[in-house]
Amino acid sequence: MFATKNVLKLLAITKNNAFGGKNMDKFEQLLNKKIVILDGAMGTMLFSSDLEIGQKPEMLNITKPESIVDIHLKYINAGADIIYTNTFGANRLKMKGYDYQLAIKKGVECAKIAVEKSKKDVLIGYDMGSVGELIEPMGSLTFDEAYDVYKEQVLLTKDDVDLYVLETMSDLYEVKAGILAIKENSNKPVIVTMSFDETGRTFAGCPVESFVATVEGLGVNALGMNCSVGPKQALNVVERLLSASSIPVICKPNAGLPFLKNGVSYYDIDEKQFVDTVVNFVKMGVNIVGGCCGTTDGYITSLNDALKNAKPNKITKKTITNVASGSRYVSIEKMAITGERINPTGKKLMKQAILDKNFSYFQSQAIEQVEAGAEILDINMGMPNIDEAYMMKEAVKCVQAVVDAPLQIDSSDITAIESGLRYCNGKAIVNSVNGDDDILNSILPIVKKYGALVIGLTLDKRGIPQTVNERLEIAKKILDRALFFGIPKQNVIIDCLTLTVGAEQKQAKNTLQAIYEVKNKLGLKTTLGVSNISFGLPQRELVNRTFLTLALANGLDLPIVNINLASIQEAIYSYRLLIGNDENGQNYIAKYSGETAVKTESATLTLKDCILKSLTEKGIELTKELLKTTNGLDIINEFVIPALDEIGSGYEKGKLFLPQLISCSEVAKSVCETVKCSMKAEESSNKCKILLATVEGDVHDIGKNIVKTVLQNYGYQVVDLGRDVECKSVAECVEKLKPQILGLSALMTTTVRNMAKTIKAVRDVDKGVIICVGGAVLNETVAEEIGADIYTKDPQQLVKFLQSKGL
Amino acid sequence: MIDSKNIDYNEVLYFLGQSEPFDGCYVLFDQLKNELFQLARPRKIVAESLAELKDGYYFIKEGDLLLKSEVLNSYFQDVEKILTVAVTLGNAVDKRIEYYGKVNTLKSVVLDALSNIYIENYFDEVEETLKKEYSEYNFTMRFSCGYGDLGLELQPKIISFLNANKLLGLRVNEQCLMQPLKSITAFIGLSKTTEQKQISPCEMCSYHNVCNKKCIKAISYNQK
Repeated sequence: MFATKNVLKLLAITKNNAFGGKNMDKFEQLLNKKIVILDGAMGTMLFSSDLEIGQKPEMLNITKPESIVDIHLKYINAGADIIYTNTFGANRLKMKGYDYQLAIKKGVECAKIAVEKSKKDVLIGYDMGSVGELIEPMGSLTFDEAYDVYKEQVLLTKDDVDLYVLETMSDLYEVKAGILAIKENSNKPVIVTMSFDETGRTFAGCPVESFVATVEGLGVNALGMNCSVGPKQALNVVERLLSASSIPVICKPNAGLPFLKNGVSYYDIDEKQFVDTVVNFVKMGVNIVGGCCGTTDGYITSLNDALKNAKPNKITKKTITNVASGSRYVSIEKMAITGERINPTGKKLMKQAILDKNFSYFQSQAIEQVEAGAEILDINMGMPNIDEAYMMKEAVKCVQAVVDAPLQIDSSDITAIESGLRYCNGKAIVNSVNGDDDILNSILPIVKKYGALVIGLTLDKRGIPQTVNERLEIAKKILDRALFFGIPKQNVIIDCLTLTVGAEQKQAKNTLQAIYEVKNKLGLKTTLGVSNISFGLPQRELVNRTFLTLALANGLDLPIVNINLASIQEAIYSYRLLIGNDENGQNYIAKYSGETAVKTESATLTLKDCILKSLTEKGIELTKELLKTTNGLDIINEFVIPALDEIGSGYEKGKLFLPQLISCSEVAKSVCETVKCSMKAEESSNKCKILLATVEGDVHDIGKNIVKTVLQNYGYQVVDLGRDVECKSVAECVEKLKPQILGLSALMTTTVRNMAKTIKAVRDVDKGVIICVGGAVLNETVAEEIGADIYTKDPQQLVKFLQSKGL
Repeated sequence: MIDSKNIDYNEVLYFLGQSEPFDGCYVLFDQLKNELFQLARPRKIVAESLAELKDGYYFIKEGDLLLKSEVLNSYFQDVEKILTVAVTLGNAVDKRIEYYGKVNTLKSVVLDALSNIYIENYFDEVEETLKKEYSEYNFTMRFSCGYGDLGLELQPKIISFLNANKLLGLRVNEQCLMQPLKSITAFIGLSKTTEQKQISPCEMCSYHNVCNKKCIKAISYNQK
């Protein structure tokens, strides 16, 4: 029996997190008893009575509490089982300069007074909306700061409310911060609704399925939609919520779409239409209903009357294996590809990038894999003498800033795993646990807490078993332990382990057999890191591809591969075609038809031609050929720079335009990257270092990106700080990195001020750096006024300036 | 009838500073246009208010919005009502433009140009519907913060007045820039009595005489 004291303690924590205490009972009892009625809009009722122009609705909790109590009472009398406190925006960011803490306390007090007065058994939901600022990467607020905003509210109210409500949410990352803040600081139930449009995505791009997969995993008690659209347009959203969710679904729509006239909002759905549609949603399976903008106590009364005899809907548990990011959902029912490149094992450049904290290298690897077809990205930061938990957090953040692929957190270090899971936006996979009791008992509770999937390796303290049956036994043990910790079966994935065929030939067959057995006898999904099979052999790609095909045929669901390799892509595309996962062979045909034609046409081109004609793939192919006989720097000097000069000259003379300049630069960039991969660090560019940034407050960075591409191709070492970069961060980076050139960009007149501030801050730390500025609102005069050294109108002018300085 | 999805590729070329098509441009435009339509979620919110006057400027009482602009005054003649409108394409378009900024700069620039045109077209479509609803009124040109002497500082109040954060997902940063980037807010004046003067926003810009890009919007505007 494995249930040691520690395990029981862990189980107690896990259960407590999942099911809460007495409040959970009250909420659960209510759900078991009836269709739960929520209240209607607070804002609509306030606007029609007491709210003055420009006033914060939450301040009425302090200034006119009787009005708030009155609205709560109207909703209670209308039949609401749960009322939401008037605290939607009562937080430190949205109420800067106000006594928001008092507004929170008084808001809860108003709800309590109303419930007491009504003498009814009504639950109080503490209401929280979005924090009011965008979280990184879209904004500058950190995940931890958003968490703290929610946590503060929870700590102020946890003894006085029955449940917590997160509503009208748009960003899944913010939802996650809110749920964690609630669950880590109280034992109350949590219900969450996001604001979806008729296509089933939120404003921030989160699809219904990503939302359900993520928040269900985080252990909320009910989920659904509110606000945004009227009930008619919500049909598609409700259908999708119901088909994805294994917990009660909430529907709290607007009374149609609003039109504001003389300060009053009018909605295009009347009470009857609203009630008819929402009742239909209940018939479809929704268990919790209410109203959002435009609804009043009249709507709730009618809704309550229509549903008074309705019985709670039974909920079917869903068994789909899926992962999600903030804007993408991936089902693993029909195989999904995991990219393996963000991992230092055997990768010189990645090791260096980890040591240098070169996050843009991680990003380029992520983008490359996703472009090549990876649907999930594995992230492994395991290297000696580094802070793995910190690196995991930063790697997760930087990768999810540029791609929407769900992530696989790959580590054996429990703090790194938790760090990765915490900062991952969406539902992730943990890679991995094995049959060792200590590992299972320490990692599985973390997997459960964050609602992740877990990969179980079929090995234990004794090592890798020789027989298929022994591997199956370990897989069974991992499954049982996961179930014990409350992790559903579909979230367990088994890795039957690839052993090097050159060393243990028989094991290749055993691995394939084990995949088949795990899949068919245990009904679990399987994964496999494929590349290891060929270690030490010639023609590794051939062996890898063949082994991958065999593993897929035996039921492999999640191949972990180097998807950038053409041979691996070929195996996957053709496999999907052959087993019917690629309808009518559309993807296969789109990818491979026309290949021959392109090859024939481009047979006689030189590398310079490829750059001038914007032929990326041919350019890379020719570069690889040239590298066999020519030094990398020579390729750049003899082919790339002359081509760029020709394009630049055409651009200056008005014969070529921006699009050609950019597309040729893109090819040159790929060529340079190919060359760079073949060079040792000391051989690469010795040209000057240039720091680029779009200034604080400005979120436009297209111009800066064009400049970056051109400069990189000329061999300059460009460090791109991104957009909306704080003045002091630019100054700090200048001080630390000592660039010869600082390039600043601004598009808006309002942000030129910040450009001036940035220049001043930089001059304070480094008087020698040459500051170049550009952007739509700048010219020579403005540049001089704000203290810049030079204004350049386009990248070509900047290159000429640098060349004139001998840089 | 205006169809916002009817994007004029000549206008895209103007945005890109091109006088004529370049190799493969139409295939690229087609591909990115389809991507744009898949990503974009055009949405709008409209508020109708009585036009009041305060200190010689138009004032929207319920939003506490003082339209302190001499230029606006010169184009809003005898206006009785003001429509405050916000439109957006949503966040996903911004994200994809940013993504292409790291993957393929040309795609990023072209998608940016396409979405600028799409959001303007969408606003045209919204305006056309409003003109039918308010058929008895003459419409002024739509006037946005940043036109002439109407500062961007008004932006946060407009978002708050329209409840556009909740209803459209719009936010304004400390420099008064809206996010999503492909969003527009504007005022439209309605007058029963006076025909209104229409010019392109480009012509009222303080950089009008020195700007070498002025033809883009002016041309497309004058073609309408």
